[in-house]
Amino acid sequence: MNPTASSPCPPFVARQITKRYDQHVALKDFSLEVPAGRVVGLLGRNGAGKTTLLNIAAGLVLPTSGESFTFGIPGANLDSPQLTRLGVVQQEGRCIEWMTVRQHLDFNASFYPGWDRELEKRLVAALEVDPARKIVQLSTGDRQKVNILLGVCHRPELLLLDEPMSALDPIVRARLLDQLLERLREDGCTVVISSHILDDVEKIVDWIVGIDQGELVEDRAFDELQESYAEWTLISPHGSLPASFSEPYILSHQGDERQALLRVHTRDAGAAGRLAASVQAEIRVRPLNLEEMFPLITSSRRKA
Amino acid sequence: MPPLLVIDHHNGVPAYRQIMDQIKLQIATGVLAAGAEMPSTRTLSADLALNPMTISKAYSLLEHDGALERRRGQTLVVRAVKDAEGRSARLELLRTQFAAAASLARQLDIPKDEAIRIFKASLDETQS
Amino acid sequence: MKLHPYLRVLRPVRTLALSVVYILFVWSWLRTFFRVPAPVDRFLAIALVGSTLHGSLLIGPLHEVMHRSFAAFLPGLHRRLARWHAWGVGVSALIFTAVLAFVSMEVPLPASLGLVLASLSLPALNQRRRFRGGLRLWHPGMMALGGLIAAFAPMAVHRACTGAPWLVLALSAPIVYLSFRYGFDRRLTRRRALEPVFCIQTTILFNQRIISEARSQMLALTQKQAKGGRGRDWTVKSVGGSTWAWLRVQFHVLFGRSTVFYQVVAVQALLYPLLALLFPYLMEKATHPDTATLAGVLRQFLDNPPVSGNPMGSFASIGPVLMLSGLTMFYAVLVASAVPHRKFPISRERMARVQFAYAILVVAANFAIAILGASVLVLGACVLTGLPPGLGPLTRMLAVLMVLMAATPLIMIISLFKRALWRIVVSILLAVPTIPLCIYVATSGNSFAVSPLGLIAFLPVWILSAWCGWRAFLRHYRTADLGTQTSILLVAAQSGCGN
Repeated sequence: MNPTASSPCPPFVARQITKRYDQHVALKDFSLEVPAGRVVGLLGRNGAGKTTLLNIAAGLVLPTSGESFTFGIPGANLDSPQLTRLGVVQQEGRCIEWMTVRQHLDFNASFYPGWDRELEKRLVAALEVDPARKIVQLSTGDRQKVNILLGVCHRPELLLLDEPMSALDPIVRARLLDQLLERLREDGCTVVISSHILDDVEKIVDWIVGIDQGELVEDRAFDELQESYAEWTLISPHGSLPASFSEPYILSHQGDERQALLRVHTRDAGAAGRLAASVQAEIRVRPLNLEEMFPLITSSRRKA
Repeated sequence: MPPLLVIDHHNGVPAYRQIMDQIKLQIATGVLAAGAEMPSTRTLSADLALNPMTISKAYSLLEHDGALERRRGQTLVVRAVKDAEGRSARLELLRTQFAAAASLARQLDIPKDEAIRIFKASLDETQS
Repeated sequence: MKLHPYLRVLRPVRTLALSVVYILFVWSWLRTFFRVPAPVDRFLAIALVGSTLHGSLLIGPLHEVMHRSFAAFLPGLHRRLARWHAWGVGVSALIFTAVLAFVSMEVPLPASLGLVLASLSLPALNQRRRFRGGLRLWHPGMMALGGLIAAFAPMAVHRACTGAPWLVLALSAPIVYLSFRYGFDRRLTRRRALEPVFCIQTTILFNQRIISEARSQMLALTQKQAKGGRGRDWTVKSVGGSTWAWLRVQFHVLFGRSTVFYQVVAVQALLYPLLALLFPYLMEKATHPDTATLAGVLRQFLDNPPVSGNPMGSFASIGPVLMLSGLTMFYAVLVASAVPHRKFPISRERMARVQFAYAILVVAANFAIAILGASVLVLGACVLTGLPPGLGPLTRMLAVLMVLMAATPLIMIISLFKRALWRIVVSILLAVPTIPLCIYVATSGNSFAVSPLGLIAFLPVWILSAWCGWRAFLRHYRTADLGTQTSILLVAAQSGCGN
């Protein structure tokens, strides 16, 4: 029935992996476990190591040290049984340029026993790809669509998406998200998605992994994250606010003695009330969306 | 009739929390009557374009809070509540809204009795 | 087993056509250039060199698939490709052996089969390793090997095949095994998936989109290798303001590391003399089928005999000179006039200056290459004919080049005309005086052009045509859409996307 139920081990596990490219350290002592059925949003700034992590999960790149397991198999030994369950959409995937989209789909389909023609047809329609055109004639956005088609149509259990929609327009992005949600409902697949289009990520992820300069800085349920980051506005008509706050959960502060804007990271529901009382001010609490959280997540390590 | 839910993905409130709040409000206002069937996790996730995990989290928390209950196999229905219980839930909803108003009143330096008068006046306004 | 996807990838018609052309080419070269005697040349052309070339045609499209980013994720790709390749090699081996059974009856079938099998499967070992700066070693290595066998051991191979056929077959087994074992090694999957390869079946028909695609992928890879994964932005701050500095940037962008540039030069300097020799020889062969020999053509070329009457009657003596200078200048014009528009942060005027300087440099470099090629040709001819080296051919070459130098800036700007009609008109206007003049200079043995007086006479012509070229460049870059055009021939030479 549910394919993920039959696999006892988590689809992806990284244990203290370090990846070095010459002088550059892409990942540093990185440990992560992605359990089945989870939709992980991979957040980080450019060059943080997201693509490297996804490539390691896909077995395309091997860690310099440490171990990574995809479906319980070390990345270096991934073979047909694992690869049929794995779907990868790379940021700049190179296809066979002279083939038409149709030919390429047929070619890749011949390698997967479970290639879903119905799904393929639906996706081709939803993403508005012309199957008769050659890959070489396609724009960047259309090539991205082809990469998505090639990575998704065999209904993988683990789907690794590296900036899958950076070149897609909002309408196609919305359709793609719908299709991804459908995959989640029907296959219960595990997804790891890295994207800078946070609006879209927000709609599907249930877990956030933050990377900064190759290090893991956040690994938490999205709900929990949303409930722990907030913006507090302190207003004191009497001008009783201090010039700075010493509370460790306050990440940023701007304002003067009458008004202060704080970005905080705390799960303590009573903290806002206590702080307001301690400085004799009124407080307004506003939750943050992912875009507002992003700089706080991806630079919390640097701050500390 | 399934509950009409509107999710704002961008306001920073977790989606499961928005679902819970809206369903609770609909129960408290009587839009959702006791015994009303909730749509399945799959259906609702398709309708709202949300991760099914989010829906099931909202449902299980609502079940835990006693707003929903499982009946006849797996169907989730709105739990029938005693009058007193329902009343306290409704008051709780009003209280949260009023706390914000009270905070604003303090910021604006409006005296207590004047704030109460305004609240009374606005109660009359909506009745007429 | 489904063979349909294999045939889709292989493109059998193109493969077969290329194979036939290759084998005929090899056969004519073995006969004429390496002077391999009659029954042996056929055998070697098909069983050894032709099979190897055919084998690389068979493996090329499969490499193309392996060198795509999705290749690392396709389940069982390498096993399937190996099985497909086994089919391709098997069927080809049967055909080749059958053909050999008719054209080389003296060689026993087991020997033919063994040699064909080994040669067909050997190219699978090509790892398509691309060193920094885009250097590839496999094809030059194979060419050198083939050349050595053809030059020194053609008879030995033939004798071994006729004498010990079963031994040849037995020896081929480990080669076939190793080729399949290491050619489809899964440990190479990752590296292969990250480096693009384009096979000749893909690039053959000068499909410009594919070629410019290949080019940009190769450049991206070169820069990635050079910069440790980071691209580079060219800004006025980092480069400076001078035209010369931007010219160097242009060279860097086009050639990456300078080794690529030297590679191109070396290939040209060695390849063009051979081509320059081939056509006069074939022409001679067509007109005098009985008496024409390569040595005869070379002797005529070296002798520099005074030509009387119809200058084309003695193509052998002037052909190599005309071919060589024509080829190099043609190439220079193609390269220089089809420079891709890059979005450097400099003004259009400076862009024009950089591109024009680049074009002039390319022409000058090719001028030097032509001289180098001519020297190679003269030396080679002397070695092959035993005649003493003379300056005659070089002098004529220089004279032809001087005429062509005057024409090149004008030829270059032909492609800048937007209307096809204008391009044709200007081409004819240029060709009418240039071609007869070149032939005259090459045949007359008149050394006026290379004398100091000739130099003084040519100088204003050069300056005038260069000025015309410059004006056209300037006008073009002032009005053109930047960032859309890509060059054609440079790609093939530089990216090594040909087989």
